[in-house]
Amino acid sequence: MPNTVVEINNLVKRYKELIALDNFSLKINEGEVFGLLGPNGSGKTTTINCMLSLLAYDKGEIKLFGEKMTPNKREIKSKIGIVSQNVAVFDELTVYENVEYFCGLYIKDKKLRKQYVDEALEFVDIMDFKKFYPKKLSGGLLRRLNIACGIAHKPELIIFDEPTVAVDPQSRNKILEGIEELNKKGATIIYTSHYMEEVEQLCNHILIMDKGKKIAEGTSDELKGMIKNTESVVVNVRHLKDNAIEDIKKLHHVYDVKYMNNILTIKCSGGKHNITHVAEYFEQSNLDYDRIYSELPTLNDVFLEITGKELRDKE
Amino acid sequence: MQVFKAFMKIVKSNKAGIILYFSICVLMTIMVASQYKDDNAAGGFSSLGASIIVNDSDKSELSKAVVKYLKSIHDVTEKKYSDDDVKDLIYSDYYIAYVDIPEGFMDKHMTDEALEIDTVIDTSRAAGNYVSLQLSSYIDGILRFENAGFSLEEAVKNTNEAVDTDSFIDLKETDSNEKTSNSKTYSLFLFLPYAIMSIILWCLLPAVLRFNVKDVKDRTIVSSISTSSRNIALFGGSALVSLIVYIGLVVFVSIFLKGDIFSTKWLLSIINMFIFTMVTGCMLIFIASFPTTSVLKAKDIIVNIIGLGFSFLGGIFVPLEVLGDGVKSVGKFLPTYWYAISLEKIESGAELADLTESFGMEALFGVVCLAAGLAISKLSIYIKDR
Repeated sequence: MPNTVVEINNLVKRYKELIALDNFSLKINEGEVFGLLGPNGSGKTTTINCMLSLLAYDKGEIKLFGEKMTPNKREIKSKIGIVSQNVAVFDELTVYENVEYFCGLYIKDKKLRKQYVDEALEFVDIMDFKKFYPKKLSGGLLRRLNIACGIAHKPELIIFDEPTVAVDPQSRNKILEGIEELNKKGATIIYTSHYMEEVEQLCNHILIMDKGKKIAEGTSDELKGMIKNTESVVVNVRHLKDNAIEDIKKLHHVYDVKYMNNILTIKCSGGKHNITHVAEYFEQSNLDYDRIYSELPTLNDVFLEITGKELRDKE
Repeated sequence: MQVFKAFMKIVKSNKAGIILYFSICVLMTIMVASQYKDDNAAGGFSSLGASIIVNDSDKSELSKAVVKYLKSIHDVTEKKYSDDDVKDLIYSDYYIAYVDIPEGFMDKHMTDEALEIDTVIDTSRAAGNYVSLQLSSYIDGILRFENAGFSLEEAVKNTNEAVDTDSFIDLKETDSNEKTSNSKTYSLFLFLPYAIMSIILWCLLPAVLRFNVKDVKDRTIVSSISTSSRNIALFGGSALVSLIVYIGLVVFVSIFLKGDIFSTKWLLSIINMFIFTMVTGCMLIFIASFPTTSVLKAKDIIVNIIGLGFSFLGGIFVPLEVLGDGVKSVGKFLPTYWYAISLEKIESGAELADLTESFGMEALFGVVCLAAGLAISKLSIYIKDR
């Protein structure tokens, strides 16, 4: 049985009247890539801050590596690496000096530290920029520097708090690949994000939270299995009449139909050939359509179905 | 150690500002020191020479002694002019006095008659009056020695010796470049608070603030070093830099003071400056306790407002006696005011015991800043947790 790296039991955190964490519990095992998914303000960062003893909490218990976490547990802290949402580096220090500084907070031996710093720079692929000052780096490179600062001391538990916000696709892929590699090397990862695609791609265990509460937990497939929707058939069609929509609603396995902006979304529960049935209906009714395709449920659908709202703010 | 090293690197990255403010300090020191260029080693007053015309029609032993005496002080032109020419020369500012020693001057002396020297001066100018005063004093001195039983030769010699010390007052025009009546120590130490505040705040404030940026601070706190180690490193770094700035300025100013160093004035002045350096350190803690991002953005404005504002209101740039009552009443709440007061007391010969009040008031400002800074920091932690 794998060791438990993080264990949070019935955590309560209040900001005056607002309950940021409401009897929140989670368990993360060694070697997992644990996704903490939720909309902005759901309590993801508060959970992380409580875990790291950066925030005091009102009730509950937090155990890291089997020990109760307190601000003075330096031994536990030395096993943790944090990659914050905002780039946390010094503008006045070069790329190398920044990584060396943060690594030096953990590694006292100069030789070993140099080796670790070089490895971290190689890992995030910014060795060529080691003499640059952060102001001279692009957004993507800055994010990679931020990661290098968090992982240089080779922590056993790495917390990534929305590391890909405002990052170009190329850098985003590089970051995600890097996280996978760190996990392969043995690090346990906590990944918080409101980008469901990333969490789905990366995490082998996902916890969805909202308003400080856990609303679902499991693997991506387990979460999708919790909801009614198994397939959505989308048809691009113009001038669809109401009676046609009513007819489609009566098709087998269809439980919800929406028609907006010439896009017809048919939600199905169960069934293997739903797209064929819909296409046949259009053929038989002599209705023209531009395009028809099928979509499998996403974590957003899971969130939408459980909470009745979108996981991600419309951008 | 890691925090300390990074702190010092960040301080070093602000070297442009340090050089700028130190250059201002150098310039001001040189300007102030140059005013004292002609001072003698004892630091007392010296006579200033003036251009005068002397006509010695007597050519006697006594008249020659008078001319010699005048030559030892003034730039003397020996010539006889007509009354009209004399008036022209004096009123056109070429000369400040015309001294005419009449024929029979010595004879009058021998017969104990009253001695008379005709002196034409511009009465509107103090220097002309002073030449008359010098003459009568000199002759009076000779007469006194003779009355005491000395021969004329001995009386002249003794009078020359008596006047061969630096004069008690400056001979100068009221409208010419006036010399300050304060000592060089006072003048050089007076403007140092501006340099201290500017250099310390300029180079330390951004460095301390960088470590207080939320994410950087969090990342440091969650590492294996303790919060107190971090704070000690930042405090140690700030204290070291402040000490270097303090010692640097003391040494630099002392170079210009030459013989005046190690005097009581100098020692008390450097104590005064040390207290002010510590007060500036407390001001730094106070400013750094405010939300980091806002302070970082307004860093330049803050440094200038504090540096210039405190200096003007506290009597650093403008002497306290020139400041209006309203400004002074505001200034009393500033450490610069009490620094200037301390320096004035030191200048007037105060001992350490006499400075307790002004030193205390100066330090009190620092204590208030320190207490307020710590309270704000505690409050922000409390707010964060609530």
